Amino acid sequence: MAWMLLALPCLTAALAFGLARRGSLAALVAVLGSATTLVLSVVALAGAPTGARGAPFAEGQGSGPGSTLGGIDLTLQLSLSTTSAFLVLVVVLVTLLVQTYSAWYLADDDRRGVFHASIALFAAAMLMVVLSADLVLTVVGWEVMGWCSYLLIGHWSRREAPRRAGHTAFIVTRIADIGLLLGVSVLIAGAGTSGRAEVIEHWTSAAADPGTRSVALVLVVIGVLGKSAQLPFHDWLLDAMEGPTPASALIHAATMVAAGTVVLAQLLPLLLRAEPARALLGLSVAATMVLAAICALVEPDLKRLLAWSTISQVGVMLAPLAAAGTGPTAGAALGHLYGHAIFKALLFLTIGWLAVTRGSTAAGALVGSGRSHPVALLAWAAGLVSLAGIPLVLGGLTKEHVIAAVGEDVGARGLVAHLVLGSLLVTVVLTAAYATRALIVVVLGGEQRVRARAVMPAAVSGILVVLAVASIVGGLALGGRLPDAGHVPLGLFVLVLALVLLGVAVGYALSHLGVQQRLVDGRAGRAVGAGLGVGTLQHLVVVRPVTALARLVAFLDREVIDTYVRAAAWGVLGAGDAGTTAHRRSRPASGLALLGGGLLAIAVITAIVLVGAS
Amino acid sequence: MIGLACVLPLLVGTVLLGGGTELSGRTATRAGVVGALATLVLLVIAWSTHAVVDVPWLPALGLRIHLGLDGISGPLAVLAAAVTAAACLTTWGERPRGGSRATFVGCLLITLAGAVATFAARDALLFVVAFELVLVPMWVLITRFGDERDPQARREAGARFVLYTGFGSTLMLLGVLLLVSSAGTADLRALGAARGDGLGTATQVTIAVLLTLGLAVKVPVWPLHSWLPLAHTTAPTAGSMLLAAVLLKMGTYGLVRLPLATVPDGFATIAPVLAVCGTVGIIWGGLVCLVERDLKRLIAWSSIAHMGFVALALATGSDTGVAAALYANIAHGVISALLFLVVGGLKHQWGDDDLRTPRAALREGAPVTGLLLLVGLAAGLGLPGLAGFWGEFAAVIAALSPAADRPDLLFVCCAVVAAVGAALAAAYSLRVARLVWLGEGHSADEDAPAAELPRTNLLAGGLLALAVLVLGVLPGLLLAVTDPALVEVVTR
Repeated sequence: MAWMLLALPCLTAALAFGLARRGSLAALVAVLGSATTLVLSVVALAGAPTGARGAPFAEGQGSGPGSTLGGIDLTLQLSLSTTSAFLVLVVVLVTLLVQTYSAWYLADDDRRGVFHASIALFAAAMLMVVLSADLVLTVVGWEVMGWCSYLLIGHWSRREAPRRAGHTAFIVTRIADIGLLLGVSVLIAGAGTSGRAEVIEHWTSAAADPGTRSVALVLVVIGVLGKSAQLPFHDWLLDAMEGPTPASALIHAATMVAAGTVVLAQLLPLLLRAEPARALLGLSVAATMVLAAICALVEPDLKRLLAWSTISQVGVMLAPLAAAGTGPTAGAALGHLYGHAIFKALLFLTIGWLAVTRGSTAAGALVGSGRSHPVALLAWAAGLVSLAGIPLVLGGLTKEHVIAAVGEDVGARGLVAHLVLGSLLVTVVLTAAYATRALIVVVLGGEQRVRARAVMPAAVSGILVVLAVASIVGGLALGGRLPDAGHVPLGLFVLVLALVLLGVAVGYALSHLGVQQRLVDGRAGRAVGAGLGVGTLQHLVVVRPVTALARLVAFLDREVIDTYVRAAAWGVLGAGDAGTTAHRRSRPASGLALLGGGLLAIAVITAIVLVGAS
Repeated sequence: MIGLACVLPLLVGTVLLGGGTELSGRTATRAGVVGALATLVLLVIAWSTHAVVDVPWLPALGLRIHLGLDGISGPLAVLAAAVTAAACLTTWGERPRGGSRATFVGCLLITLAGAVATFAARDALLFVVAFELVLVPMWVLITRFGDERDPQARREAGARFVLYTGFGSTLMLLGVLLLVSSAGTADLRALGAARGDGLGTATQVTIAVLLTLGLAVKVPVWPLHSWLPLAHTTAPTAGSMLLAAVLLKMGTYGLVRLPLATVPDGFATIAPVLAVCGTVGIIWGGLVCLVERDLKRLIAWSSIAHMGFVALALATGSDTGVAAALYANIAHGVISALLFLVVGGLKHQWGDDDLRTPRAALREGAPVTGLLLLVGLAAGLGLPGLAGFWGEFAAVIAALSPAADRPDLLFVCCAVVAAVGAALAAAYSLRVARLVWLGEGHSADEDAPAAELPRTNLLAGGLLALAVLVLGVLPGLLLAVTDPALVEVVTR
């Protein structure tokens, strides 16, 4: 079943790619393929076994073609549990909606077939990460996802900016992946197998060296920070806004940035035993979620505002993994993954439509655009309500779970946990504030009445309505499918409600008093719009030195190593010439010299061999 | 059967050479492709039936014709035949310049004959003889059919190729002679089974140094690599394909069969040096690729980086390492053949291969060529799902748990550096993709859009790309073949 779930999107991708020249046919195949996968994943969810406590991904029950690579056992297994099946369902649902949406969004694009195929492959890669019971397969899915993101972000490659954005995204995540590859290699090399169940068993046993384990997990966390766009790797996700909006929706919602959460949840037993790794993760997410939320507040472009929001929300998602106790950690993180996937997909798809009506994603251009269609208005509002975390709606529920999980006896878990909790609470306020800002700009702003009703295809409004409803009442689907996310005490509920209301008030006050506009237009807005200059910093710290080093190496190779070779070649040719000359003269002395030289050479070589032999 | 597989390409090659200008170009290409494919079939039959030939050749020297394929040599021989067939196919659309096509194809087939004999040889001396045989046709390919713009450079490249690799072969010959005389047999299987028993440490180390140095030239391992970029820049497309997919493989195969299997203790002593050299090669090659201006030369440099992974994996001396090296070896053979096919074709089309000249985007004008290039580049950067990933990822794992008699810390450092090298591979591959596939810096309306390569090249490239995909998606196929044979070369 698990392999079927993987094979279907792969097949869809292959078919769509084969039909790429006939765009609408490829789109049809892509949509039908995703729909079939969705049906299959519902069936899978109904029949999936519940993972044992502590192993919600049911590593033990995998199936796959075993193989050996020298001394390493490659199990290459996929496994299906209620938890993984539920995540699969979320991924496939978002993929289906995105495929359908792209059929409209890219209707005039001459390369839409390739786009649909890339989306299908991208989803397959994410499914592989979710279903994998094997560390190598996890890496496979992880890297293929990165490659697809390169293709999707750079889809409009006739323009300079998308080319650069795709390039940056791949290189930045690939640099972070050095960590993941090494970390996974250490885990596999130690355990002698790539099966996750066995790896976890080996590294949690008494025989495992805690130091090595911590190092391996720190490396894995570095990889996760890269893919999840956390500090200091957040830059690529902002540049990625150059890609087509449906691709952004997929990257931001259920795949790519969320993959790190899944992988760490799968490796949770090891992560909980590696304090340095958790501390690193905690410091990064605590800083990222607050900083990104502040940036979202002053970002001049609404699509980039959503990107900042993703960076911040992924930090929230990772927070329980970094700082919660042993109980509700995975449940809280995966729950927020689900909630975020739904409302972020909704927001991106909505702004995609809005931007088409106004021809830009800049906040200034989108003022009042929400009023041009009731479905857009509803969708935008529902997404933002969920993002802001109003209690009882999906986003609010999952966010409360995260805070409850981190807050539960936080006193016993040291400084980093306190820091993460503090950041979470601050982020709640900031998130509500920027959500309010986004709502005000799109819905209330603009003096002139919007007269023209823009056209919205039925499929698009259907998609937006489905996601909007799920964003509000999606919490009902949580139930027992994900691991226990803990419970929210009444006091916390009230606290979060108060913070959200505070945030809404702040957001409203900022725009009402005009401070918002000054911030956005001022130096802060420009700095945030330029991604805080991290791109320049990366250029200075990484690109320039590496290029300089490369020039040095090329120089050394040309002028030093090659010199010996050239000298040897000249030497041989010169000796040949000398020999010819000597031969022509044919004097006894030169004959003697040749003979003597030859004998000498033979003697030297014989001596070397003899010395070696004795 | 295996004897026939060696003789057939030699025969066809000689006939073609003899035919020279008498034969039409098309006949030559057809004969070449059919000859290489027939060799491929013969090899598969010989390999699956475990056919062995064992007859005395020069009894006075103790030289025997002893041929047979196993799980280590079989895949390499099949790869050589397949790549030669693809290389012959490219001569259909891309007429060799500088001589008759029959001579060209004949040289390709004689190279194949030498390569098959090298892989199938079970006698150490026969191995050396076959190893040397390949140099001659390759020299002709480089000096006679190479880059026609600069005859001087062509001659220099050919001379350097022969001198340099000939020098390496001499060292190897010395090592083999020393090995055969001190062990008392030239049978590679017997030598491998003995694991160097009865040889003193000093002898083992001397043999290992001579053999490893000699073979490292061919692989090539840093800092003995300088002949490779020059040879590749000059060689014609088909020659580059064989150079990368066949000749380099003979070097790594020799490393597995000779020093690793026959003098394991001696090899263990020098393994740290080999590991460090391999690792330096990974970084060195990757860095040069970031600033290299000639496209074909860049791909040659990336070969050096990939062979660094193979050297590192072999140096670990563990069964994982050897399995990784063999996988990476085959994978690199297919990938580099594909890349050289595309890049060589582009060079032919453009007239030069300077990356500073903006090129029309392949993605726009020549989607199939672009796809082939992209598959090659993605596989080269180690993208999982394509061939390059398994060997190189496993090489890192192997370096983290080397055999018991290796210095742990050093190998861990090498593993870290190798992983960084994998990121460098991404950087230079995407650099090429951006310049050539996406046409960075080229404005769309400037001049004609990019044109596809000739159909025959696309067919050959498509088959190679398919092989890259199959090796990437189903690693179990090759691993299952290699695994049982590992016991012959490494203690498990």
